[in-house]
Amino acid sequence: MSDISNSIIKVENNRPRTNELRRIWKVMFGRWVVTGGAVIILFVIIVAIFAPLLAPYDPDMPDLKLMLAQPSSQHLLGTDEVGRDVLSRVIFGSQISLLVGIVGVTIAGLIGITLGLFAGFFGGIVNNVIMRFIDALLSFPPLVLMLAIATVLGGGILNVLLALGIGMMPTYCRLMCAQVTSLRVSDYITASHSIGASNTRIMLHHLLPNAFPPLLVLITINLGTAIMMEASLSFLGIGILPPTATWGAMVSSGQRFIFTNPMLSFAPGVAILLVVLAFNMVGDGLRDALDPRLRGTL
Amino acid sequence: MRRPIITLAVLLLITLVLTGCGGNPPANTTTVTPPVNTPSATGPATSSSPVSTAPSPTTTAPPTSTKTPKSGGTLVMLITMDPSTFFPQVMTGQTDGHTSSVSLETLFRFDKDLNLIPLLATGYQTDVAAKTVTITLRKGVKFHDGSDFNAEVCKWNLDQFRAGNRPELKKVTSIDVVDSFTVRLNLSSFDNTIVANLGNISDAGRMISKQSFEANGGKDWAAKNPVGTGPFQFVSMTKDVGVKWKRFDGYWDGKPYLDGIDMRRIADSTVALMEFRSGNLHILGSTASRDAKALEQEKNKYKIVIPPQGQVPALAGFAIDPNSPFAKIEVRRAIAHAIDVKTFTDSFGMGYWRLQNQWAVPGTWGYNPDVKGYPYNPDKARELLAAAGHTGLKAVLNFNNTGQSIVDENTALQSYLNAAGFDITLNPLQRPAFADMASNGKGWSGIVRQQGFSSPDPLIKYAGVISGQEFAGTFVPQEMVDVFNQGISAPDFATKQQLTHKLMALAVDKYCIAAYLCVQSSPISKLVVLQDDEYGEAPFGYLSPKAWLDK
Repeated sequence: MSDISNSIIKVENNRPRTNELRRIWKVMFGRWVVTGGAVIILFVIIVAIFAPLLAPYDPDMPDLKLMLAQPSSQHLLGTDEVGRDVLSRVIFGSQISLLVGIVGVTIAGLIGITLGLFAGFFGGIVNNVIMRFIDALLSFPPLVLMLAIATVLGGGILNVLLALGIGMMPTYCRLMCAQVTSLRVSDYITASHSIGASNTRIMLHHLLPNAFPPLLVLITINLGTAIMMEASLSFLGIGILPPTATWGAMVSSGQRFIFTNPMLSFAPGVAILLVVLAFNMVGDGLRDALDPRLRGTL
Repeated sequence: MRRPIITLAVLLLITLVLTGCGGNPPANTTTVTPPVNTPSATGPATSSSPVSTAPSPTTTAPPTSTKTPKSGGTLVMLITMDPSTFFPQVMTGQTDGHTSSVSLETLFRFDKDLNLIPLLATGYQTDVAAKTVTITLRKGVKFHDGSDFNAEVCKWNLDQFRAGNRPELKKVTSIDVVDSFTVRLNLSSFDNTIVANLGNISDAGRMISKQSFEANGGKDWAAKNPVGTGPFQFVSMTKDVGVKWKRFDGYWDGKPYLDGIDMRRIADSTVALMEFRSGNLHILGSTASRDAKALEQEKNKYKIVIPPQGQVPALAGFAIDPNSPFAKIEVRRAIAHAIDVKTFTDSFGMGYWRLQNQWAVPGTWGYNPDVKGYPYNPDKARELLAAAGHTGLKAVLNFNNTGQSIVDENTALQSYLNAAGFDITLNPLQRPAFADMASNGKGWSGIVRQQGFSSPDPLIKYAGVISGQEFAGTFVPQEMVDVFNQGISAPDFATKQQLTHKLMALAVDKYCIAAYLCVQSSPISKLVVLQDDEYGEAPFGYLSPKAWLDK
């Protein structure tokens, strides 16, 4: 490698990253709503990891002699329509929610970011083919697209994850493409070309890291969206197969008893509300922290 | 002091005796218990050769209310789905037939006790040797367009239906017009279920106006414009909104009391229940057991009736493949022993469902009380599985996902089966996928939950299973096919009943082709202001033309 490229790498390594991270941390957690959101997310992660220890009952074991029991000391949130403990199902439901949030967004991010990177970097016919395909996908509302995919593929967690991944992928692709299109004419990219850096190196080492901050915000917000979408699919009865506890399915099945046993829908509904809100708050805080236009004002 | 005490004791004793002799005061309940009919009361759908006793010409049950009927008012009732067509040949499912029955009448219908009684027909005769069924028709009946109902129109209707290759009239080779009000059905082989199929159990006997059909362009028009002989004539249908009917003043059984019927489509059961409770619906129709129990507490507002029929859920293992684990009878019996049907029935049915161990409904002539069935015994189920060489037998339980209730029920069944040594995964399928699997026989495996509507004549149901029209892929041994064929060609009722009982015993005790669970008779909820309607009391969505509103 030439001397020039060595000096570029040296300069990049000498950036004051610690100070920047500290600033981001300070801006993010300077607002209580963001801190609150982070605490909720942390709490849900702990609950999901330790669900088997925390849940008082087997979440999938019916007890037909204890159907629709009101909250009591034995069952703090009561039992559902087949006698399963609602609290235990809410606790185990957190596992599915986090799983679909993280894996769904990961699938969407991997596919979308890769396609966007290629489209933005190569431009021309590659850009046209990829972006017109993405435009076609974007012409469907995300939930409709996911419904179609889940209906064709059938229920089950893998299919739901795939549906979520494909359904959310276009926004990543479009954002990445826009970012790369503006970055690829930057001087440092031109310089990289000049010194003979390969396309792969430029994409992975220069474009991806510099285009990533806005995508990080999108990922964080989409974690909440994915949980919401899975809940919607489960609510509509084409999500994860019963009897697995999911918050969306619990809201759906509980709505029949909304006047007599409101806790059946209310408890998982509140869980969805809090987690989605928390991810949105954290995403919002992250966006503020990473937005260069707000630097110095927050 | 002693005498007054003795007198008081004697008085108290007399009071107690009188109270005891007086019995309970008349219960102020509006629940109608399911009818229990004997074979002699019910009678078969057929008659002995060569000439039968024609059914009673009575068509409308006497009013059950002691009040004087009042004219006027529009009955508002719930429908949960839009009817897909009003052309009988292509009607499928309950919605089409039930919705149109106020307008498109059938030749016969089943009453509250599941007796086949005439409607547009006045009677029938069968001749086993000649392989014919002769039907006499009601005179003076007019369609809503003013045209006459007669033998020629009846034959045209039946021919239309036959042209659709429907199984109900498959054995009818030709139809003769004997005179203006008599038709004769010529059969390829005698089948005593034919007449029942001309009742409201099916759409085969549903009559539409030939004149309107031909004047307006045929099937496509008829599919959207029902013109029948019923007490109410079609006004309009709006997709996702409902169907409106108005009174037909020229109705052959007298002018109806109601001005019209407004069938409102509400898909969501919670919304429908709220509308019913608000008084905006007179008939809620099938009601969840728990909601019906709550409504039953308010007897001054609501009445709950239990239909004589219901869904019969059954779990059938895929046994026609010799390599399937369910080909072994021990495994099929293990399924039956694994399920606590009493707890299942009591918990989900809340007193509205009945225990059942065979296809025929208890209390009907086809029910065989000698069928032993398989009592709940999870240990026995495990033993049977082990004897068949299976422990932790992995299988999928396939079912038609018609709603959350059925998911709940299957969740409970899954836990029973798993507790008895199975390893069951639930596979809820949307209607088209399930139809492909259950009706078209496209490769189901494991266990399928069969959910059929019970029939007053169990042989009609078995006809569907044996022909593969219903639950294709169900294991039906040749011995059962032979007994079924003897049953449908039996010349008299006693023989038919005996063979039907034998069929029930073979299906359950000898071959265990499925584990029958219960009769799910969904309670029907109505406002008390609705009188003499028979809705829910008589099967198949029948609404009496004598219905009226007491307000």
